[in-house]
Amino acid sequence: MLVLQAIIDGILVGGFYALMAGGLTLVFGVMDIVNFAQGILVVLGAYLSYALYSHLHIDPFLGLLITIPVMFGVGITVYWTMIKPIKRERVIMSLLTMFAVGTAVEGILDYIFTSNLVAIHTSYVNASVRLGSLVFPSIYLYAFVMSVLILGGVYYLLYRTRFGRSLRASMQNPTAARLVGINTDWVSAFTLGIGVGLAAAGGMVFGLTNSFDAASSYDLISRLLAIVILGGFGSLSGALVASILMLVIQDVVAVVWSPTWGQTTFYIVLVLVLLIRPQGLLGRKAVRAQ
Amino acid sequence: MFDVSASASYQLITFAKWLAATQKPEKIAYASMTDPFLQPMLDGARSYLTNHGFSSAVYKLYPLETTDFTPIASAIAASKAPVVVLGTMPPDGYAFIQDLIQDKFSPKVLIEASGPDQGSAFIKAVGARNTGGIMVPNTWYPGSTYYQNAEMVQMYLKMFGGTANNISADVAEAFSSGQVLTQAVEHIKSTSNSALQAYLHSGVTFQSVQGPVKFLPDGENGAATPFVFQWQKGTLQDVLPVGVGTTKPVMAVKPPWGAGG
Repeated sequence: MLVLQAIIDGILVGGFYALMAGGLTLVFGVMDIVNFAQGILVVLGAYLSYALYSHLHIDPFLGLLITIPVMFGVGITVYWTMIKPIKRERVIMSLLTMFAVGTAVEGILDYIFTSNLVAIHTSYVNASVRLGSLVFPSIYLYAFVMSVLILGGVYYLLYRTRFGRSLRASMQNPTAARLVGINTDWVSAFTLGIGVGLAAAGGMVFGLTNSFDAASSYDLISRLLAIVILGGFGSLSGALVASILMLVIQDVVAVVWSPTWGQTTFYIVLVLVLLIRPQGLLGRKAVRAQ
Repeated sequence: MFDVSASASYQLITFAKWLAATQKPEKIAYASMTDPFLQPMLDGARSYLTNHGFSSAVYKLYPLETTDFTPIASAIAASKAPVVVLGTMPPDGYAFIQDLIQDKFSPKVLIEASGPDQGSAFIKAVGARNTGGIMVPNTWYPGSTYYQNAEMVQMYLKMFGGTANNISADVAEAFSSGQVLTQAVEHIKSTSNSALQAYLHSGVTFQSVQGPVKFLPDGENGAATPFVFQWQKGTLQDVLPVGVGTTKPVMAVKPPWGAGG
């Protein structure tokens, strides 16, 4: 029964990790840059939700109506002011730029909120639903449903809209996309905006389930990168599958064996998968054909 | 080298001694971060309690980067161990309490290495009605009646101002090192290094603001008696050791989650 509980916990927690990783994989898929700031942007999302809840008493889930658009705007602003002007060595310079953005955001958050740990403690954060001997923490249930809805919305955007076609075209071949009239700058800007917006949603759940400060991003970014690599760069469904797989493996190993080996086991699985499928579980073999 | 302050493995010893003296041997669930300070705290208490008949229902170690504590909390809840000892930093300390509440498991006795000592941050993180009965160790606090503690506090406030509660435990650690050195030098009437070392290793017990000091062959303070604090009615009270400072009676059974207390 403990193993079943661990599987359930892994699936529920994996859902909101998919939100955070989804933004990262989208950005790489379109822009070819690893957004090293994704971890701190998740923390920024958590702080925004925390500020709205503690000062204005806005429920964190409702607060997403504010934080997601704000973070979307942050993403677009970062693109136009910092990424677009880069003319040479675009990939490496973009990577360094996002690293710098992350460091700057961390410094600002530390200045405003200090290094004291905070958490978003709503009335329902400790609630749970019991089914026999299985426990379903309510906050993870809500987060999982929200993650599925948001990721489903993004998936719809990617595969059922004109913008989505433009985005996928830019992912496959940015040169050809420009040649057919797609404004790849706006596609990239919107993609970064979506990626950062997803970080806002993931950050809200992170803040509800963890105490955090500005330095909490370092553990996050390493996990998110591992998820994106396992799922396949550019694959939203890959990010979801990989997130759930990572958390289920970790949780099951933690109860059956030891938490110390949970993450190690996941990385062993990651290496084995990459040996068989270097593009990841659901990634494509050749994303770019230039 | 001599360590006047309680080393990591002694930080929970006051709690362990109290448990062994007042409770019949029962199952204990242990979990700790694999931290060079936290894990020895847990293992020191576990070693003492195991030698006094308490069995380990759960023993889980987790790395620093762990963010999901639900499987460990589930294992603790499934064991139904009445005593839970956690070697935590504040973030995981808060997360464990949240997860145990979600699992609807309220142990009879719960102590965390750190987290409950964070005052209002702890209350905000876990909820004011969930703090009752939770214990945490500490090596020093301004109100203790250990040797020269009141004088040290007065001296500090005269020199630096502020309030007694803002005095860092580092001050007490430094001051107690000076106290021990003073007592040793005054006894042997010499500052010779070799003479001092011999006297410090002679088995004599010194007094300090952190309590009695008696050095083991490796320089550890074998007489260290850290304090244990417990949340009672929304305030962190010193409860152990009995008779030092303003100790309140220990709440032997933690109230259920949400009951306050």
